Amino acid sequence: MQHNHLLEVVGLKTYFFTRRGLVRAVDDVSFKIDKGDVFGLVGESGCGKSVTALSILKLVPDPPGKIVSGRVLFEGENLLLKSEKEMEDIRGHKISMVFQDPLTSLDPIVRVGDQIVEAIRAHTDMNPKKAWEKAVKILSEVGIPDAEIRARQYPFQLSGGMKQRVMIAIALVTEPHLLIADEPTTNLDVTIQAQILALLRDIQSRTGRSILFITHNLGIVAWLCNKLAVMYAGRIVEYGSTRSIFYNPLHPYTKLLLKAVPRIDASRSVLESIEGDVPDLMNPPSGCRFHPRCPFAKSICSTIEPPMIEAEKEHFAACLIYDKERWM
Amino acid sequence: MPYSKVAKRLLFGEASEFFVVINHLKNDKPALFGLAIIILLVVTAIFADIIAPYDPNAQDLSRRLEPPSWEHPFGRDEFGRDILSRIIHGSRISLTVGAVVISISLLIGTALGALSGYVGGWVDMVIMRIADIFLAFPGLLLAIGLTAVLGQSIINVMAALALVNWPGYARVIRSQVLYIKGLDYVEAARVMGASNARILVSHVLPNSFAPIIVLATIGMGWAILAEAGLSFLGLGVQPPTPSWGSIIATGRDYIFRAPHITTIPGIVLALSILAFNLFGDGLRDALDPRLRI
Repeated sequence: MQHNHLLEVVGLKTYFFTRRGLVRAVDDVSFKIDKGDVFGLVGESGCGKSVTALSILKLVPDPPGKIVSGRVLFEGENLLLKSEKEMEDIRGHKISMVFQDPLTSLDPIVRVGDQIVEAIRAHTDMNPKKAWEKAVKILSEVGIPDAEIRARQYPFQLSGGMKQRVMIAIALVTEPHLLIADEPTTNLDVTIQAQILALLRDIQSRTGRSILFITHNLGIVAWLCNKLAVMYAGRIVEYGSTRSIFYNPLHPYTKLLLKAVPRIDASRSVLESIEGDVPDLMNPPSGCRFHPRCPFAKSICSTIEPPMIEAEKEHFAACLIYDKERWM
Repeated sequence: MPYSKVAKRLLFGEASEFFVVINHLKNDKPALFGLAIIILLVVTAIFADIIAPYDPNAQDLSRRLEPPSWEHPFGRDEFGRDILSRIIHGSRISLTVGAVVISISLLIGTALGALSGYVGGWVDMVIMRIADIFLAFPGLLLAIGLTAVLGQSIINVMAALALVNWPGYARVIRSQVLYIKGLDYVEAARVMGASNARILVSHVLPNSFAPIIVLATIGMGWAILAEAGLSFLGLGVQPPTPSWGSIIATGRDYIFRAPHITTIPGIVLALSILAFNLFGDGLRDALDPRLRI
């Protein structure tokens, strides 16, 4: 077994068994994150990004969700075989997560300092006084002025941006090996978004911490991540370094996605869009899930599920175009 | 001192949680009024023997049903006993019943309601069906049955009342827990590695408690009244031991000839319940940091 990868997700399938039917939210997803990587997981809403993150932490709501198969190797150990008790020690300690919505992710009746202390004391025996000092220290490290005073305040006394800084402080205070950031800037306005992203990048470059960054925003990804996976309808369709994907997108979906990003410096006035709708995951299209919307689709696309093909070095795409034998 | 410093000290001064709560209550006039009456009641109950001007059981049949006078400010009852003294002594029974019944109901209701809402599934199913059984049963009837089986004593009355009262608390706590356990900060605590027990005790329950405080203060009045009802039926305290309920109940027969027998203890009862309500409201506000500013 290889130990040089920090996190290796192999063939992960997370399904939701709902009353209306089976939803294949994450269907055969594989990727690797190395130490020091900032890995972007990109896709539209409902494509399974967040479920992937929750699956890594074994926090998929069950019922109706279930991790059906696959492996999540973290530092060489399969997390899916761990007991709930063992997971409690990994969550927030080895792997931390920052959520989409900082406004509701803090307990409204507990002082923010105490919430950080709780995170520290959940995983170490540090005495309360020392933990409090550490909490104040980390608050100032994530750029909260007057940390001493802010630590004694309640979440409602903090602005949205500050709350997200507190969330990041909580996630980082235990010095996790992997930080999962699930659209951490979605509910913040743009200037605050920029600040939070700068903070994340700053932390990353200072500590070399690995980050799994989940977003639908390609601009953020280009700026922050060194590796990238594009998800579509529960599958990864393209996977490689950020540079190679942005300069040379291989999968038709990625190509269209990059075209659809409005550019402030471009002269074109029409906003491109991708024809059609996101497929219903309860009843996904046969073969390649993107084929009904794909301008290059041929008849084989509706029958064969495309495998991951290494079309360029370290750059994979799940598209039959790169399967020279079948694509004729 | 510059303004900003003053403001900082006022708003976030280095005060303990307890001090902050007290400080907030200090400015809440209705709550203070309620607290004053509650303290008065407790002191009265403890020192009833010293405070009461007459022996609550001393009869004077020649002066029965006498209306209020300077000598007997609340008048005399159907046996010529001093009503003021009887109310003072009655506060012991009434307050004890109220406090004990509510405490037991709260304990059982919170524990079972939280378990039910948090665990869900068949645990929820079983606990809620048991609660339904108790809810569906007429409370007074259950209490009568219980005292009939267990024998007649004030302790059995309290047990019976707690038994019919806890499902209400359990239901409210359950619905609160159901709502709060789905909130992001609970999920965030889980991601942080908190165990179920920790999440329930330090995040879900504290956030669930606001409506329960209000319910408990209202319940206090209900328990005092229910004890009165049971005593009236001869299941609670036995004559001549006074309780507010029994004074009101026996006074009913003379409501036209001597209305003071029922109205005065009634006013005392209403005032006490009001006091508990006002204090409960104030306490709820003071305990919620969002309402404190």
